[in-house]
Amino acid sequence: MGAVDRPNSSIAPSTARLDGEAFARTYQQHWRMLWCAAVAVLGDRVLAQDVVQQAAVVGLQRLDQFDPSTSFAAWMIQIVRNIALNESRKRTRRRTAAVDPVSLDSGPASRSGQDEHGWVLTGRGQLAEGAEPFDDELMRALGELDEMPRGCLLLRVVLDMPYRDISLALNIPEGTAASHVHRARAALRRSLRSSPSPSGNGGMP
Amino acid sequence: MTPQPPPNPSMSDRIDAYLDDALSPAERAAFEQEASSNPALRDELALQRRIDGRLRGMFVPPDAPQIPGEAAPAIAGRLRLPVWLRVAAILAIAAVGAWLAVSRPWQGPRKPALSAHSADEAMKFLVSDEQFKPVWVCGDDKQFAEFTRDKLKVPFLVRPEAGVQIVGWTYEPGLFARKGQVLLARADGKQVIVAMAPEAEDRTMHTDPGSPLHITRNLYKGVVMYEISPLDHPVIVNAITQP
Repeated sequence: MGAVDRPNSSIAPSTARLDGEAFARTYQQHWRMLWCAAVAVLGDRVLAQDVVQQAAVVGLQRLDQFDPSTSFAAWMIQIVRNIALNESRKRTRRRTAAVDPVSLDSGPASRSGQDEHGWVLTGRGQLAEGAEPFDDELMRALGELDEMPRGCLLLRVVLDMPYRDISLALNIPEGTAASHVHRARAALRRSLRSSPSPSGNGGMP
Repeated sequence: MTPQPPPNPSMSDRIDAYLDDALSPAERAAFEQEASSNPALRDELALQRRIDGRLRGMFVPPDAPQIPGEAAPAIAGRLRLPVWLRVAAILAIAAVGAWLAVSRPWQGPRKPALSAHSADEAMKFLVSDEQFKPVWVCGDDKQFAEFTRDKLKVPFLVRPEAGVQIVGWTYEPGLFARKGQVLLARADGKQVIVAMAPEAEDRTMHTDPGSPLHITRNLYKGVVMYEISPLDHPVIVNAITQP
């Protein structure tokens, strides 16, 4: 059993040196991947979008430092992660409230039955009997993962990236990328196995 | 949450391999055969599918912002602009990029369909995997209208029709649109689903060849609705009315 990889991966290094226009084009091609990498650090979709845009400015400024024999995705993801980690640290210091309806930081608030994410809707529809906010539990469980397994998982599941591409993008061995995904999946299942589902049969759809 | 014993590692590995499409045809067939007769494996697989589906539904990457190609070299400093002008250019491009990302002016209200989705897969997911169970139920018209206003930004009701029963609302399962909701209903004993989303999230929906399902699209005050039904006529989307 081995992962099925796509040939001619867009993650692979190219030999061409990038000028500004090529950077813009390549950046846009990798936008979704960069966004997922930022989300994995921040858990906040909107902030991740801002971070990826900040990374574009930084990348352009440092374009002379990019080695075209290496992976553009890995280079940009490193920039994205650095900016995201800085943002994350700033946010932790400020302890600002998350405003993204899908935020890894938001589990406890939503689990408490608050209206913040629209899961419990007194007067606007009520949770069906036996139903629990599966998404909230999923976000909480996702937030409990380390950043790297979370990043691997999102790239694999959300973008359907082959493990080889994940390994190139995150600069880790392919086997490690696969291991992160497998462990992250198992951890999520372990957390959610007893979470009641809409069908109310112990978490199984 | 009650602690659960860890799953059999080999089961976990095989589930991942199955979902990663990394099994040989023979291994895949054997796995599916076992899943059909092993409730623990079937439940574990269904849970993982649900998790993956929700992750895809919740983490839909936004569209990439436009970076004007002719401006990029200037930002990179290749035109040897004065430092203050480079900084100004960077700030200007960043502001334009942020504005483009937020307002998406290139996406008009008649945005082209994003991608095609199978109505059969959607129905199978909601009927087989989700067992046609609602997450939210509305006790009366007031709750229903407030729910639609909250979730879809437009208050509306479904006009009562003989033989039609509203079951409730469920999560957008990642099959339709990122801000979508799904109304479950029964008509003449048949299961009917109606995927709804803001028009900006519209996308093509299709049936598979030989499908017994029918799709009816309707647009109500900026909310696009796809009724997917085994009946050859719509019972919900044509009965939408204002509160």
